[in-house]
Amino acid sequence: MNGARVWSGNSLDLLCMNEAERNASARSEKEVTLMKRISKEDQVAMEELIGLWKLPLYRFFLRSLNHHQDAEDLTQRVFIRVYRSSARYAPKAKFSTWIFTIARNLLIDEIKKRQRRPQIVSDEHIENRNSVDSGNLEEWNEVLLSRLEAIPENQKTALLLRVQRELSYKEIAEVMKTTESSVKTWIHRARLDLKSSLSSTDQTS
Amino acid sequence: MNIKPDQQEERIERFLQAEESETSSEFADERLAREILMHNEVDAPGKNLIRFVPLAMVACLLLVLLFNFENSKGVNEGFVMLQSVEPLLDSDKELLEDLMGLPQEMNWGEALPDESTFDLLVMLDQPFD
Repeated sequence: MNGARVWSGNSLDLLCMNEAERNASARSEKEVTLMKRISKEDQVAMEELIGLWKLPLYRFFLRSLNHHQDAEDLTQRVFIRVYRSSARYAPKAKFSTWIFTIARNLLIDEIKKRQRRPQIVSDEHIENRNSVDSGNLEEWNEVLLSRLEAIPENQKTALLLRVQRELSYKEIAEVMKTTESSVKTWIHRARLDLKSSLSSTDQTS
Repeated sequence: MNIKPDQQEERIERFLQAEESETSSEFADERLAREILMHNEVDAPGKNLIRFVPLAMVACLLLVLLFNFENSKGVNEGFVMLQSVEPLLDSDKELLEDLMGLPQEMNWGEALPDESTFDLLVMLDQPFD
């Protein structure tokens, strides 16, 4: 069974699908319906969509930027864009591919903004560091957090989309507008980087 | 830390998934949905095109006016040309024939004889009483 098959609405296809595929298809269909309702300014539909995608987006931004407030702000901005473009939405690709393309564009804009303005260590960052020091987070979590911050955006995004959303290499390539081989290379490098950080910390301790 | 190599992969995955991370209580679905719908508008298809409709109408109007102006200018020029080829009056024709009939030595340059000049010439030609 091809996991990348797109829901066609054909009853024969439905019979051939396994449970995971049926769930994915049903969800995809639901998102299309929600988008139609959202375009008619249906607040309940907007709430439903937010309920489905708020945490995945927030966790993606949180690991990308390591900043809780910025992660929430960017999540909200994704939903604003989704709402504005709801009337023009056409399900050409999976909804997750579309929404994470928006998320990635916003992330790149945010990174550019951060590069332009002087680096200020926010209170939130300091709080995080303190909580790490006080043992609220495990030591390896702290190591991975600092290591992840140093990884280039493309490697980090590719890895997060793979691990958090379980997107295929092809889907990640669509989101990032690149080739599958580039995606594979970036994910491999990022994994190696994180592993080496754990190994080196292990050796020093 | 003493992490076994086989545990590294699993720990990295769990860290990246960030499943323990939650949004703040102010970031509730209902509130978020209400704020988004209240402060934003759906970009309807063709909405941007509608913005250009008045501009397009003005451009069309200008084109029509310009076209009409060019046409009227052509008509005026034609009118001037028509005026310039209007047939001469009989009196003018006679005068021209007289002038053409004059011998070369009697052609007094560019100055055309007016009526009083002719009267004077007639008077000079007549014998004194």
